[in-house]
Amino acid sequence: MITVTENLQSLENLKFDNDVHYLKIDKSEVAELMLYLKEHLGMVSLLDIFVEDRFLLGTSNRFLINYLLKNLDLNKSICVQFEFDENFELSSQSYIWPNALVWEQEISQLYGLDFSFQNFKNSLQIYDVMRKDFEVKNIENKSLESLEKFNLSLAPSHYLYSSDLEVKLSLNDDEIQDCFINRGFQYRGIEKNCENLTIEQLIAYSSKWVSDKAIFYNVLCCDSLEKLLSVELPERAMAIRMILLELNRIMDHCLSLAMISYEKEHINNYLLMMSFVEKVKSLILFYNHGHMSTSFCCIGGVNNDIPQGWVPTCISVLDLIEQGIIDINKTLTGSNIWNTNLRVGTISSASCLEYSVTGPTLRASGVNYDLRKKAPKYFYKDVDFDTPIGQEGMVLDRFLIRVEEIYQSIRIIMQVLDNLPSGEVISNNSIALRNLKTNDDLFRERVNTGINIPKKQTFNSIESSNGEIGLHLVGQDSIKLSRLKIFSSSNNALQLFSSVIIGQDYHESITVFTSLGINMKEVER
Amino acid sequence: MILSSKLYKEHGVLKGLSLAVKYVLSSYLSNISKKNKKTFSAKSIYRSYQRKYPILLTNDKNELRCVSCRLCENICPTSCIEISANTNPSAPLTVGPSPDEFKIELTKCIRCNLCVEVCSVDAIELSGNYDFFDDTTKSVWNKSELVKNIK
Repeated sequence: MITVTENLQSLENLKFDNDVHYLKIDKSEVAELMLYLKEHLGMVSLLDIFVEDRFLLGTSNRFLINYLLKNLDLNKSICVQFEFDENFELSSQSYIWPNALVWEQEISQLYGLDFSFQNFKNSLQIYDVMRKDFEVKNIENKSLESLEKFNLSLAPSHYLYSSDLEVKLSLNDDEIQDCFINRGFQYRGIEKNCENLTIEQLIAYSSKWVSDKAIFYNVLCCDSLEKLLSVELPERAMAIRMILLELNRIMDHCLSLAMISYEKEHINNYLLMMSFVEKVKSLILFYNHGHMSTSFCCIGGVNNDIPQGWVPTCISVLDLIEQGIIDINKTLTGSNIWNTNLRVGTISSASCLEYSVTGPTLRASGVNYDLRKKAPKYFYKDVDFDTPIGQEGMVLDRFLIRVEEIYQSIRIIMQVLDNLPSGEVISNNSIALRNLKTNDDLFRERVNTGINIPKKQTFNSIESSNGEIGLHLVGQDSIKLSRLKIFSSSNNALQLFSSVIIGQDYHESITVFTSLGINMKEVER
Repeated sequence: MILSSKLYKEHGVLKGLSLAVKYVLSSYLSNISKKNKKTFSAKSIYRSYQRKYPILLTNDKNELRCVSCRLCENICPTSCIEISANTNPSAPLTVGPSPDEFKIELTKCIRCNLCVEVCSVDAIELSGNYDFFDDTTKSVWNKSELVKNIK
């Protein structure tokens, strides 16, 4: 345990050997340390806050809270941990990182913990769905009734919000004066369910977490389990995973481009983009026996090899999409009406970093941060591609960056297909299920009881189509995990959305929402 | 890389001409043969080998292949399989009695292929078509109904 006042200077000379450095401190030293970490060590963004409930272990301090901080320049992260019991009142960190409010709100609803929220205005509220066997304290939300203006509520499950969300606006003519977001219609208790699953079951379940980004989450889950168990992959499996990740990125970008153009009543472009979504989806289904992603990955590789006739269809589909992008550049990017329509919703790079939003939103406002370049996995190091960067951070920039990124991921896929390595798809480790089938007793034990997961923590993240997604795994030296936490950038983007649309016209709020790429299935897990 | 393949390498004039004629002729012939065939699309292919719902396979003597080793019951992520049988936990995986009852709750099944991968006697397969809209209250299928549904 490090005492802060003595060893603050030694923190400066920290060597980050691993990806995440775990820092255990005492609960009284939090406030001093957090400010120091932000100002002197450059931990600009707060990725995640989560709590481990250790009721079953029977320790004197029941809860363990984790703050995951990141330095974007060096791509290094610190996890600050401290223990506390039920009566301890936590101080809210939202005066340092404003996006902390979302996480803290969720924690206080899940565990009944106190945060000192009094001085902070909060425009987000969780709908009453959480387990509550305790009294909820100290959660104050502002109400719209006191404003005495014209109120408009965009109903839950608006067709363009792509998932369930209620946005209440108070208007002065067309201008939005204040906004109030009601969320929590889709909590499914994923993280709690995962604690009772073995590894194979977890990988199969991970593709069902978010339906649009099934491959991203399946690869992320499998990759972080491989990191925990230190398994190596064969080259061909890595190449196949890379191709499917980029295909999913193209699909998701096409979908959001379609939504933006539908909102602006540009039906031609909408139909074109939706046809691309269908084509890429059918490619993925062709590879994976008519499924989006169930059992695409397995530990130590990929379940299926590339089927016969898949590569030529992939190339022909990608050629079609490339021609479509050239058409868009001719018709849309050159036209004045389109450009002036999308000059709304400016987000500065400072506020992006403040709320720690990553992905196309951050790149559109001029910060060059891409995990594929910063911490390359698989063959991203060897592949030649560019990261597009915007200037002003408007909806137009986000639109153009998505268009360019589709082109870049086509480039990546073509390069990988040219140099597709030969060999096996699953490694020869004893962990992979398929290699154990010769020995009956070992196989039975492996299936019925699973693998022993070591007592270790890992945080693993990859670049998805709208920002960083990550998975925090905590092993407890048994078959099952003690805690699993899903982190996604769209949780922070939702907080940013409520502050961006103030001052805009109300009909532009939907365009801003779709351009930020918020998926409510990621926010509510 | 594609550029290092045979077509793009440097050749002499005669050899180059012969290669070119060969490739042009082959592409022309393949175009002619395509006109008679159906159009090639990804959708038509994946439908032919799409993973569907589980069915139980039988022997030549119309008995179930299942030896009730309970591996599929244990690995199922949604726990939709339920077997009632007397299993011997130390017996080899290819020998055993056929189960008394084999129930699958098909509305829970996510078709992840784990049960097929685990099975060592190929007793289960994901190729069944079921009519879910005949009886809306029904969600659990019996041993006898799971065998019948081979189409």
